[in-house]
Amino acid sequence: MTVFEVVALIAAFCGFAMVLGGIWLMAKGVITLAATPKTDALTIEWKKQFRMNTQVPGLAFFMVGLLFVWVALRSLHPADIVPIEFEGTIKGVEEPVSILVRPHAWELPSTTSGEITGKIYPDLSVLVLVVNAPGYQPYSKLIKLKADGPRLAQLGTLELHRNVRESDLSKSITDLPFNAPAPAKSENAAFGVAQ
Amino acid sequence: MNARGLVAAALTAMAIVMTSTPSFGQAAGPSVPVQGQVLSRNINGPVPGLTVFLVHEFLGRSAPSYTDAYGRFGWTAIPVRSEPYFLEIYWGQNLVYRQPVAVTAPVSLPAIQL
Repeated sequence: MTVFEVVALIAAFCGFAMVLGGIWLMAKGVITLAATPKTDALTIEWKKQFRMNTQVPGLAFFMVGLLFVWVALRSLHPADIVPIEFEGTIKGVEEPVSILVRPHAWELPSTTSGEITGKIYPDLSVLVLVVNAPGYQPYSKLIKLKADGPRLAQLGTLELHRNVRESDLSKSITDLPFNAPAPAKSENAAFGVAQ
Repeated sequence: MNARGLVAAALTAMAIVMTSTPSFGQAAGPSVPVQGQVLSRNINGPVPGLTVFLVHEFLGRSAPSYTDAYGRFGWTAIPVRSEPYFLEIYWGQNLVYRQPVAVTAPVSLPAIQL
C-alpha cells in the first residue's frame, strides 16, 4: 500500500469518525440540532450558483465529515487515461506497414525463493516503436516522453530498407480443412506470445 | 425450496460455472515454444517483415509474429495439442504459405524456402 493510499484511507476514516462522533456528541447532549429562529438561520452562498439555508447549524459537522469521505474516495479514483499521439512519416515503403508500440520492459524485483511478489506502476514514459513491412528490414526506435506537457511522440521521418520483393517469393499453400478466423491484431489473438 | 434457497442455489451454480469453465481461447495443459525462419530461394537470403500465424481448428488464431532481419519468427506458450496447427505466412494481406505443423513438443522448424 502506498503512502498516498494510506493517507486517503486515514482521511476516509476521519470522515466516518466525525460523523459517528457527531452522532455520539448529540446523544450525549453536548451538541443539539435544535432549530434556531428564521432570522438567525445560517446561509451559505457561493457565486449565486449555490445557496444553502439552514436553521440547524449542527448539520455542518455531518457535512464536513462527509466532505472528508468524498475527498478521500475521489482521490483514490484512478487518473484518467491520457492518450499518446504519434506524428511522423515513413519514407519509400510501397507495402502495407504494421506499426507496433509497446512499453519498455517493466521488471519485477528479482527473487531466489521461487515466489513472484512485486508491484508494477505502469510507466508509459518510455515506449518502443517497431515498424514492419513485408520485404523490408524491421525498424525499431526507443521513444521517451516528457513527464509533463503534451503526450506527443515526434517520430520524424522513418526510412526502411527493402530486402525482398513479393515477386521473389514462390507460394506454397495447402487448403485449410476447417474455417478459421481472419488474421487479426495482437490483442485479438487466441493464444501464443510472439517473440 | 423457498426463495432464499433458490437464490443461494443459483449463486452457487454461477460460482461453480465461473471457476470451472475455461474462458474462450484459454487452453489447459502444457505449452511450448515454436520457432522458424523464412528464406527466399531467389535471393538466397532471409525475408523480413512477413506476418506469421499459427491457426488451430479449436483454439483459433495465434498472436501475429513478424519475421526479423534474419527471417526468424516464433512464439512462446503455444498449447500442446494432438490436432495439427497450420502455419500461415502473409506478405501484407496476401497469403503466401500454409502448411500443417505438429506441436507436441518444443518446435524448431526447418528453414522455410519460398
